[in-house]
Amino acid sequence: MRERNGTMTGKVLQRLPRWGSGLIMAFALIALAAGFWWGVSYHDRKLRVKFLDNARMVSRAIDWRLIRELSASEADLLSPAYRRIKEQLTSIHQAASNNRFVYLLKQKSDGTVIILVDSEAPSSKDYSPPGQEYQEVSPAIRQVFSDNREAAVGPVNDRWGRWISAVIPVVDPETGTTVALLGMDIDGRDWNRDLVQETLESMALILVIVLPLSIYVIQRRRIEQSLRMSRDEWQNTFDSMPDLIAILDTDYRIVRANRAMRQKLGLECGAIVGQPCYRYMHHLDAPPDFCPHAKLLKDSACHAEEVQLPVLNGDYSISVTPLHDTAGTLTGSIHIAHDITLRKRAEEELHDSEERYRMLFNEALIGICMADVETGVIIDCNQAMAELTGRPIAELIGAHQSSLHPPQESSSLLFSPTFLLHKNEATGTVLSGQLITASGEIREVEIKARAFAFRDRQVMLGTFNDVTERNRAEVALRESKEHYKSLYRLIRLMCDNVPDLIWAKDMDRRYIFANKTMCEILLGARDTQEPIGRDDTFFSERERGRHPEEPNWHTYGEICANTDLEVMTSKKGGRFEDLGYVKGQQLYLDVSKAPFWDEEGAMIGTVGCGRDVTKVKQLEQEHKKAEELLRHNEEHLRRAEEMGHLGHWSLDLKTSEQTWSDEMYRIYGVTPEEFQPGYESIFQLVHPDDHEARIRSYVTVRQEGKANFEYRVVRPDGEQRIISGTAEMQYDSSGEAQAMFGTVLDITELRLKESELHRKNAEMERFTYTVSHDLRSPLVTIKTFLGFLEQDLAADDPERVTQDIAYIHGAADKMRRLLDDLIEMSRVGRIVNIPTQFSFQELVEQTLVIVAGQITTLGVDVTIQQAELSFFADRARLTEIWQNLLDNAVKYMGNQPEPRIEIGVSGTGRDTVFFVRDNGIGIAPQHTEKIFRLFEKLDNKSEGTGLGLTLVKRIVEMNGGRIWVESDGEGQGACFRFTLPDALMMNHLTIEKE
Amino acid sequence: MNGESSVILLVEDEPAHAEIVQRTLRVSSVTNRLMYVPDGQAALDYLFRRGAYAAPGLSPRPSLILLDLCLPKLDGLEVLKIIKADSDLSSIPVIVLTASGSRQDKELAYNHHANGYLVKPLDVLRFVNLLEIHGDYWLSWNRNSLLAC
Repeated sequence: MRERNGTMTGKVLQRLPRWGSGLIMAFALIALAAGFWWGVSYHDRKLRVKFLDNARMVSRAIDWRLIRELSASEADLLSPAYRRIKEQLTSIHQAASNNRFVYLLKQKSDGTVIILVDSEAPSSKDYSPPGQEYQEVSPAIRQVFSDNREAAVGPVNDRWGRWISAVIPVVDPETGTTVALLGMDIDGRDWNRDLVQETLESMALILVIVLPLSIYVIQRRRIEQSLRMSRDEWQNTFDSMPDLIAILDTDYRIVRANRAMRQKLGLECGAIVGQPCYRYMHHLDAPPDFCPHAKLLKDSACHAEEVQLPVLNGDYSISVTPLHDTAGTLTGSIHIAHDITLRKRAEEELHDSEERYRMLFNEALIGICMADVETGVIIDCNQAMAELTGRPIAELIGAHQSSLHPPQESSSLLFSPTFLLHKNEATGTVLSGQLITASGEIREVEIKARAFAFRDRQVMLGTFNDVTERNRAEVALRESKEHYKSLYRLIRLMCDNVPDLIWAKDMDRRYIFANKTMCEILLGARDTQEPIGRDDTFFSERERGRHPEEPNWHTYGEICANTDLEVMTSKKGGRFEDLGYVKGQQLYLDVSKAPFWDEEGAMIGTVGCGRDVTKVKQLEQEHKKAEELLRHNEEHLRRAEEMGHLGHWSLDLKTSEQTWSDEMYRIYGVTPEEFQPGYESIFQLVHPDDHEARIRSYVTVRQEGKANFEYRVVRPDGEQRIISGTAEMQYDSSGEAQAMFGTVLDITELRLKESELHRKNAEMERFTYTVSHDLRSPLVTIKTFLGFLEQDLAADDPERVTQDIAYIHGAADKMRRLLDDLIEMSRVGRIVNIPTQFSFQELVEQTLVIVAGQITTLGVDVTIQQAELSFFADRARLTEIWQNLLDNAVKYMGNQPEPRIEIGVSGTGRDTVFFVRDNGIGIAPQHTEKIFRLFEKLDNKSEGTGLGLTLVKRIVEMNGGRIWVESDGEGQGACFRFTLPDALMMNHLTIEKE
Repeated sequence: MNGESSVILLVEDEPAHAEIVQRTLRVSSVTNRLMYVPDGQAALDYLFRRGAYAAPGLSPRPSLILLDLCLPKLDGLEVLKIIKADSDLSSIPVIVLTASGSRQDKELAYNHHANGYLVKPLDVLRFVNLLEIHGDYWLSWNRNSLLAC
């Protein structure tokens, strides 16, 4: 930039004088023109004044009276005045040759100007006769007419030419009026010529004086400018020099210092000038010893020094050049300090480098040898070369390079420098060859030879690397590689043929190995090479990318990374369960991971093996569910067994060990703690009468594979239960009996219910039978007697007819009674009145009122036992019990002379027994059950249907009680006893019982 | 046929039914005397000549027993069993008369060696026919045996 600026400035400086001189020339021309113009106008004025002066003098010579005599017509030609004036004018014209015309003008009263007289001879073509009108009169001349003031007018054009005219009024002194105007004309061309001449004369004078002066001034200005530019250039050059330059005087004072120096010293221009150099350069009070300026001061010669200047923090080459004045006296020196720090350093580095390379050369393990290309003679070699060949360096240097190789070996020729040069192998190549040692041993070497120019000659540099051992190692390595390759192929094949996932990753979790299964199942890689260098994220993202609509399509990848990290941080192998979605399917992996170490024990990655256990997991889950279901079912079974009183057992035929379910123990009335089920021990609990049945069922199941049995169990507490069971043999696949399995059902309640049902059924049957029979009986009677009636009516036997009708009536009545009683029976239990609370006393007394008629008739003595009992029951129904029993007692009183009925209570609580005792005919012991049956009558003579006691029994049973009769036999009276537990107010008793 | 020589024992609790049997016999050719007891107990007393029938001549041995099954105190089937179990009485033909038409009753009666079974209401013709054919046989046999004695 600076340079460019400088160039630009130089151009401007160069151009400026050229452009300036042009300007000056232009100015000069303008000035010249102006001067000329001014000179012209100046001289014009001067000439006009002079012209007027002449004209005025002429005008005075003309007699105004003469003029008055003129008539301004042809007549004047003859007038002496005219002639006189004409002569005067002609003489004036002749006296002043440049006056072309001299004439007198007069303005007539009408304003026209006429010529009175002119200086021309009448023979002249320009002659104007007197009175000729001057038509081309200029306004300036008219002006003179009007104000009587002389004037030099023109140039004016008229028919005679172009003129400068001096017009002088000729005044009559007596009147003071202008009688005429004297005009004198000078030809315009003459006027101009005179004018130019005058002007040029004065201009020439001026030029003669001014021009040299101007040239001098311009030249001087140019020189000054040139000087200033060269001074600036010098200063710029001085300041732009990178070296530190100072001009010193003989007293070591700095006269000038360039910018580099000032900047280096950090000083302003003014501050440094006049100061001793050593103070600033060296921070010393006196010049240093090496000071070249000091030397220069002594011998006035140039001096140079290379010194280190701590003040300037570097190495400098200092040179001084003497300065002399014009008289040749030493005035000082130019002191230049050139920074050579970098050069110094480069030199040092070069030196170091050379040292290093020399060291490298000497200490290199490979042999290095230099030979002259032309001669093949070894110029230099290193220690390694000496060792390689077994020959000292001194012997090698000077020997021929071919002596290094075995004579028969082609390499002696092949690697000769000349050959290599001819082969244009100058750029160097590595070839295998052989060397021969001093002891004659052949060494395998790798030779790199290269030719290069070295001090005007071609030199061959050869490096010899002993590869004898390496070659051996390489062979071994190659073999080893082959081995490993085949091993790798084997492993690869093995890994790619297992269903498990196998992989290895580096520390960045990038795959370095992945088997086929891994690639196919988890990664979705194209082949086993694709995962190499890639991580899980790459594949999982790719897989996800294929199904962006399903966020759960593929979640594997990140999880694996976590366990990878875990292994890497813990530096321990581990087993993990990885779960995730792979290609839309849930995948469970049982993964084993381990860190992967190099030989130095540094972790370099992880290896892993994973097994797809999705199915196993599913099975496990199903198994778990099944187990839960089983537990659930077992619980249900247990509950079901408990509720249904069904137990099950199994007998292992090999160990004879028998297993019982909980319910089995309950059925047998034992606990698992105290009872060990076994063939013999069970017998202890079986009713002795059923031992045989049990043995039989056991034999049956062994023979037939299956048996049903039923026997009684006597529990340890003596309670007897009836059980029903099944037993089955269980066989293994070979058909051998393994175990026996069976169920046991406690059917005691069932049997009780069955017997109850039987009883009810029997009763029902009997009821049906009886009802049908007893209803049939009157029907039979009626039907038969109706037949008789017909016959008797036909036979007209009124006595028999009456008898027949009586039988029919009787039967119909009986039937009605029967039906009434049956309806009443059916009401019991079917129609229930709202229960009310009442006392035993109230009940009995009410009943007695109902049967009072019969009792009174027979004169029965009724005794009622006092009892504090209360009922909460269907009062009407309970009343029927006592009513029927009292009816019965009265009915079967027989011929008892002292009939007596006793009503009472015995026992307490639910066991409270009510009784109705009479001293009537009594009941034979065989009939005590029968009397409660339907339609059973012990005495067919007695009235009633035989339903009374049946009704009582039903009411008693409805109230949870039972009824029975006690009698010592016929004629001994009877006592009906019954209980009514559900009808009693039992609140306090219930509490007692609980 | 001499009806004077043998009696027919009618065991029937229902007086109306007894009357029916009596009338039916009256219209038939059977002229044997009809003895009548109201219940099973009384029937046995008659046959074994005890209780109210202990006195001699009160209870001639019947040559035919007409037995109702539904009887107070001791029912007809029990009476039949006792008769047929008794070596002396077992030879007396017993015709069961009952209002029950049940098959079970009929079978029970025959199982206990009843000699005939008639369901009430008595079809007079059938009853008479039965008495004439079977009863006559029995009665004749009875008479013949008596003659043989």
